[in-house]
Amino acid sequence: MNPFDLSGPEFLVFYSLFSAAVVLLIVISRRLTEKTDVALPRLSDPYQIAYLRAGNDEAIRVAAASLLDRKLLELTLTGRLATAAAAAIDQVRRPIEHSILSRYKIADDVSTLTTAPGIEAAALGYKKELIELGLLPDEPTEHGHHVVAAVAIMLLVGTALIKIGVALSRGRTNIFFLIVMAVVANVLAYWAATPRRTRAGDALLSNLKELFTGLKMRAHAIVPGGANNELAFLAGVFGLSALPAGTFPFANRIKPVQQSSCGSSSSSSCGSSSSSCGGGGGGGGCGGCGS
Amino acid sequence: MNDRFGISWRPELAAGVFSNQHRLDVVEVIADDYFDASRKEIDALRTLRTQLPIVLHGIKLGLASAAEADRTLLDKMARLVDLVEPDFWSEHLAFVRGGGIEIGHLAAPPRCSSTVDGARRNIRSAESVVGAKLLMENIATLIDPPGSDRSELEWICEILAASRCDLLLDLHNVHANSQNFGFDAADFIRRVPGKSIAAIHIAGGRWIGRAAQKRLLDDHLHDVPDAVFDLLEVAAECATRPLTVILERDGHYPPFDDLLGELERARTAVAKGRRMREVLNVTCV
Repeated sequence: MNPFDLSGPEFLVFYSLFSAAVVLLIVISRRLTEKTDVALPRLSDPYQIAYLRAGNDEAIRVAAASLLDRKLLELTLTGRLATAAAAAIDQVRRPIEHSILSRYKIADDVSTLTTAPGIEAAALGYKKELIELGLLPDEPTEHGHHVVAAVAIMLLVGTALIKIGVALSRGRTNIFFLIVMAVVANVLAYWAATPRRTRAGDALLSNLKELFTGLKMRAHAIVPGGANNELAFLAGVFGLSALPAGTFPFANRIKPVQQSSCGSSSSSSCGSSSSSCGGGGGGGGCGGCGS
Repeated sequence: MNDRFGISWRPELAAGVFSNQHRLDVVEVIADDYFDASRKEIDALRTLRTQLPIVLHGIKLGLASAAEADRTLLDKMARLVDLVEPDFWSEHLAFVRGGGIEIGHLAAPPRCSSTVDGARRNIRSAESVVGAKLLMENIATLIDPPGSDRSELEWICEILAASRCDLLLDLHNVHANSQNFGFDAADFIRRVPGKSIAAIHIAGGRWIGRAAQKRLLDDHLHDVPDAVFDLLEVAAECATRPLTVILERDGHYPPFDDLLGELERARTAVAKGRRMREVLNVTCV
């Protein structure tokens, strides 16, 4: 049976099954080749956990939130970050905290938080650690992921293109659904083939979320001031959105703007924390993007 | 001696435990919370074990009873011990059910030969089903169990001798019982076989009732009283083996630094007791 001779609806069924098989193959191959148990060091740094969960910018934001909570950093009503006092720099021990406080000795807009080179470099130290621990993929592994993604995309796009060619040669022009299906299949395949974390990283994050569920449930009872490091761990494991806005009002002002309403994850006007979307509104804006 | 100091694991204390691992040697996890745990919850517990050694503490087995231990619960404990691989596991010298009725809390059984026999039988059975070292913990009680024909100390020592298991000595329970029933807690500890003391619980409680009815309740909601640290010193004098000292706290959580402060006091008390043992060549039972 030649699948390209199938009728339109029949081919769509075939293509959806074929796409599912490709994605499944990627997932299974990952399960077979990546181990989930790695030797873990002491996980006492919440910013490292934040990096594992969501990367560089998130580690910086969580560190800034912790500094704001401890009143070592200040956020003015006009959205400017400033180190509370020069002596504050000597009170912190983690490089990322040190770099943030050093950067904002001279007050600057909150939107510069994740783009300042010194701070970014400090956060990148976590990437190196996490790669060495096997929780984030190293360069060869990432290269392998991209090869798998490329092969999968070639298969999916190639199959769709052949069918489109056959359809057009037979005078059929109803190829819209196939194009939509091909786009969806390729996005899924790329997503499955290029994970940000290793399986061990995924497992660790999932386990940490489980261990810290109790903390999340009593988030409203967390006392400001950083005495128990609870804010940092809560935000590190679950994100700044887990912080109760009433107790920690600054969290909304430093967290990334919600991009879901924009229809694109790379929209520059929404992806940044510029005042047009962010400001003090807590991410409720962005209504104009993509519309 | 290589004594260890830790805290009971409560999800509410997770941030404190994780950020102060360098000041903790061990965490104690309530086993019953994980008897019907999902794979995800067990994996999380195993992640915790990669951070700090774990000991498991059971509540519902009710081993100090003339009635047979619940085999289903023992199987669950065995499964959990297999999955988590704790340094040891412990249960209470208490009963929790009788005649098919669950009491819902730890109750002191009559201190008589039938409960000694029952405890011996149940402890043997538990060790054989679970296949790992078991420690038994003395409990606090607000009433002197009716039907008793021997003292708490005699009863505990008989069970330890008959079952050849070690003791998890809960110092606040000893303190509470000594206050409620008028005996010398330090003397009680000195008469417990020192070679059988393997672990220690410290905790706090509160007074309830009025005047003659006044009783000290072991509620784990308050700071460890000075009297318990004094008893810890005595226990460290008497214990011949390395101790695992666990601070129990079940609610009204203070700043984690306060809990660490209590653990520091425990370290100091144990060190002092150990020194006394060396200097005075203390002889306990």
